[in-house]
Amino acid sequence: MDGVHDLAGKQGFGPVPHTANGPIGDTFKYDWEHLGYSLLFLGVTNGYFTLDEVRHAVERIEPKHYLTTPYYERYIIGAATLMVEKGVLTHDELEAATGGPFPLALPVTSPGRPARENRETFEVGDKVRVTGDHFAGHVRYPAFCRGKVGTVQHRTGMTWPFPDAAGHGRSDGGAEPSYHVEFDGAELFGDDTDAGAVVVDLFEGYLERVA
Amino acid sequence: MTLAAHQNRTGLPEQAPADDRAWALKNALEAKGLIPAGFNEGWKKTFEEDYTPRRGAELVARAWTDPEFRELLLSDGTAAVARYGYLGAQGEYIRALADTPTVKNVIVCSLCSCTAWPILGLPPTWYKGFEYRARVVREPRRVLAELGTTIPDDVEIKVYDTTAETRYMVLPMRPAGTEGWDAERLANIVTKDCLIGVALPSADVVVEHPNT
Repeated sequence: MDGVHDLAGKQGFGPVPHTANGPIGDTFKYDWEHLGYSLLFLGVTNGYFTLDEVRHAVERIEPKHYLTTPYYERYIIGAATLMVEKGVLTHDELEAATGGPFPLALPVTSPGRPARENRETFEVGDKVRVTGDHFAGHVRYPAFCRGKVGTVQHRTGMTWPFPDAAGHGRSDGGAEPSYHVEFDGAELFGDDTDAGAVVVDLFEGYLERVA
Repeated sequence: MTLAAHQNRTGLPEQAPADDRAWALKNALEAKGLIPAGFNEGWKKTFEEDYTPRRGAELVARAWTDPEFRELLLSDGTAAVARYGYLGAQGEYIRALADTPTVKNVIVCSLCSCTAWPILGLPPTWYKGFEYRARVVREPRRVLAELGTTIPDDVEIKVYDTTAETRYMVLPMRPAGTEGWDAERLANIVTKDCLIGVALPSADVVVEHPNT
């Protein structure tokens, strides 16, 4: 989905609040923050949902809410949303335990999808194009590379569940390798970039051969 | 104006404080007996104590001093990291990116925050921030310069967007002035920022390795 989470290449943001090798503080600033990660791992360990579903749940947080919510809080919302959607907890139970409102992410709007059937295997050096499709469900490619042509730089030696299916709790997505595809900066952003190249890690199902 | 009225006006949902919501989620799950004893505390310890950039620094220092290991790290990062026992959650498939005199590598996760946790540590706030995620794919040279890392114009910058399950680490070039240093001393100049690619190691910059 072309959600507000897909920030890559968006313009208008100010300076990164950091200096090279400057202090970054403790791992967790507040004592509850670790729950953002450990409770999502609980859900994965207990088999309630997949990590891809967590990513999708965070992406479904209403855009203004997403943009005004700090990082670990978004993962608390994501984990809570899935616990409710999977029937582990009710929203009422959650709000009773909270003693106040606990807004969740917006409902899923797509059933997800299995991987493309006519996939090809690529080798390092092959020219590939990212498919030009638009899909309202969970995907793991940034919009800036949609339809763009790049060169396969590395093929992963493992396979993983296809995120467009796994992100929706589907088990019919199969597993695929991914490819590290190198795009010229200019192919992505014209002359408005100082990146020599951007390399994107793309599942096989997102790629087509360029003759 | 009440807080609730203000939130309504801006279109944001009314919500209890973040800490109340976080603990409530844990408590509600615990009340149903769904959390094994020590589960959250175990992860907290892993995040704070085990997953540190010191591990990545060790790998870099070894690669700088052992050509055979360097070759393995670059050809099969996962196998190289496995030798150290440093694979783990969000660090199952590793690829090391070698800087050269003509290429500087930088990593980001523009869609969320993916990073090689077990060898870099959890991502710092700035890495997860909207400014870095939005800008570094498009204007990495400018972002790095603003951070204090000026890359010469004749060095190409390659940005790696962590959009699937590979987790990257940058293998920087060994800086001048470190001739004859042993691996332990070398590891002391490889910071978390060097492993992300936004800083360059220097013989003059010996850093503390916080667990972050």
